[in-house]
Amino acid sequence: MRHTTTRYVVVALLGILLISLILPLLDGLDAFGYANERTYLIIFQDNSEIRNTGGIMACMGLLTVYHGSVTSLQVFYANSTYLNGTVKVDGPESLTKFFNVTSARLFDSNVQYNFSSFAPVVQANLYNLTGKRVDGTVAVDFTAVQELMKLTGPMIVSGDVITSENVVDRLHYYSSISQGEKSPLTDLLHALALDIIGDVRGSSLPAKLAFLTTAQQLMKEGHLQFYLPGNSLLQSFESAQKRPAGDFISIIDANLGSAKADFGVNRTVSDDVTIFADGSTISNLTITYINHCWWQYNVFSTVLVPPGAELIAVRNSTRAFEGPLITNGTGFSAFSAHLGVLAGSTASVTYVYKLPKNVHGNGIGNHYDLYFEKQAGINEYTLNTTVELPQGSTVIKTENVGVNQTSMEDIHAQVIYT
Amino acid sequence: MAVTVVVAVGLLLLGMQMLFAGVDTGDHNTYTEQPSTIHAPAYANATNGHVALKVNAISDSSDPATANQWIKANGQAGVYAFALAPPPGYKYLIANITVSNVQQTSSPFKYTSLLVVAQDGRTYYANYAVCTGICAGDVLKNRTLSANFTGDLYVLFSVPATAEVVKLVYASSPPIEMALL
Repeated sequence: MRHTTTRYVVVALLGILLISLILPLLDGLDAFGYANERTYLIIFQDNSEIRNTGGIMACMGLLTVYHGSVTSLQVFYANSTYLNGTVKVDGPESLTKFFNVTSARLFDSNVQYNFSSFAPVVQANLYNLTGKRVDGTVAVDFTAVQELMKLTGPMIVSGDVITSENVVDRLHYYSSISQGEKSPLTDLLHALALDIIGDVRGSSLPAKLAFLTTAQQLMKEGHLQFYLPGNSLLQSFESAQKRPAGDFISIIDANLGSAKADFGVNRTVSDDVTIFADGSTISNLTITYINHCWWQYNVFSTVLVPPGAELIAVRNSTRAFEGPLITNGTGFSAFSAHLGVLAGSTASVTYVYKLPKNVHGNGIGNHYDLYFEKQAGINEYTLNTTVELPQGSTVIKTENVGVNQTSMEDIHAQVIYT
Repeated sequence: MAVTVVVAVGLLLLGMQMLFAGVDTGDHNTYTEQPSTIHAPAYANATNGHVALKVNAISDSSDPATANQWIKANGQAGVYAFALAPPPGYKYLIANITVSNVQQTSSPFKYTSLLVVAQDGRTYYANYAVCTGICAGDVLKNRTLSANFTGDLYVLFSVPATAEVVKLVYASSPPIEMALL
């Protein structure tokens, strides 16, 4: 009897394992168009002009795959009739209130605080404007194109040699001379996309592994973002915002007409946290922009912090400053300001805010966790964090607390103390 | 959960393998000299019968004088504003080149066919170029030199910070190879 029960359990477990293998495989094959033709919206984001979801939307494309092959790729320039339609913008409040806007052109509508919130909106807007339905959305920024080209090697497009070293500048050049429907930028992106897909397709298994590793790293850094609803295989790669409990800082910048400036702007975030005996905290958060460009950098900067944050003080080191605007959303409070950073100079804004209960007990001691979320599209930033504990406390462990931490990813800082 | 992720990654690989079959990829930008290449000593005139080129200087964009020249030309007539902020691990080299059309008719000229060759033989194609006045329209936008045109061009190359460039090549037919050392 016991043996029969054990056998049933083993068979059931094997069945579950088999289903867990087959379902993702079917989903994976479906994503590549093996079951049905699949069409994806590809958004090419120029992250040298940073916007909320990772960069200004330079071009959009419709990629159709069937039986594992690309059957069509159409690329549309931002200013084309196709993408120039006006769409409703009903959030985030920081943007609609600050700029008093309720609509934007489609190519300028990536105003949500992250890609996973934006993707379903843009898919719906695309359908409303053009009647095109897509099965998912992929955002690729110029850094991702550059990194992928390090693997593919140079490509010849319209007689020009495009390399990982010059691809971003070629894209910028073509973006600057593009007008109307027919654009050299769309031609270049079309050719590059097909060449990169072709190179991946034609590569050996080790090279494919290298592509996969690079793609995974690009996803971690927010240069490659996916929204593929309902696909269990690729769901683990979706760029959903997973914010664990604890303190967090998410800085969302939008370049306001400062051209291709963001690769010439360095960001340093300094957060000095004081923890009180009752578990509340005061954060002294300074965002510093170093503008290496020879022109002024204008940025609309929004900082998301845990809900209930009480702003105590704001300081700014730039004359060109408007704000702050305080707004609230589901799971966050937001401080927004418009800063102008003069050519070749440094400017900063400091927010001092109080959070009611920011420490939790977990096993041994008290835990303070700070999650710093890097904005998609930003290449690199420096984080300085200090944590001052209540008087008489003893530190058990610290992680990622300190100065000059340069990172291309999110950072989790932690202090455990008694 | 961990099993699902491992399975998902494995199956994604399998899916990609099914989709994509074949040969190696890689960075293959190593310089190969053509038999017809025209050679010129450092900082001398060289021509392929259509255009004549002369490298006047090549220097790092971190040099204030070089940066000022670039900013002046870029600000006056650049297609877009280019920040002199090289990516980590790279430096920008700016070559000041006099470009002349030796024909009585217009000649095609592409700054995008200019490349520098490092000591290890690796090549780096031009990223962007600026010049002022009529040059900007002709050379940058139209990729054409009008009859008897002569003008100074600033051409920017992004190269690894440790790279030492030894040649500047105009990949025309025939190519022009100009020594830099």
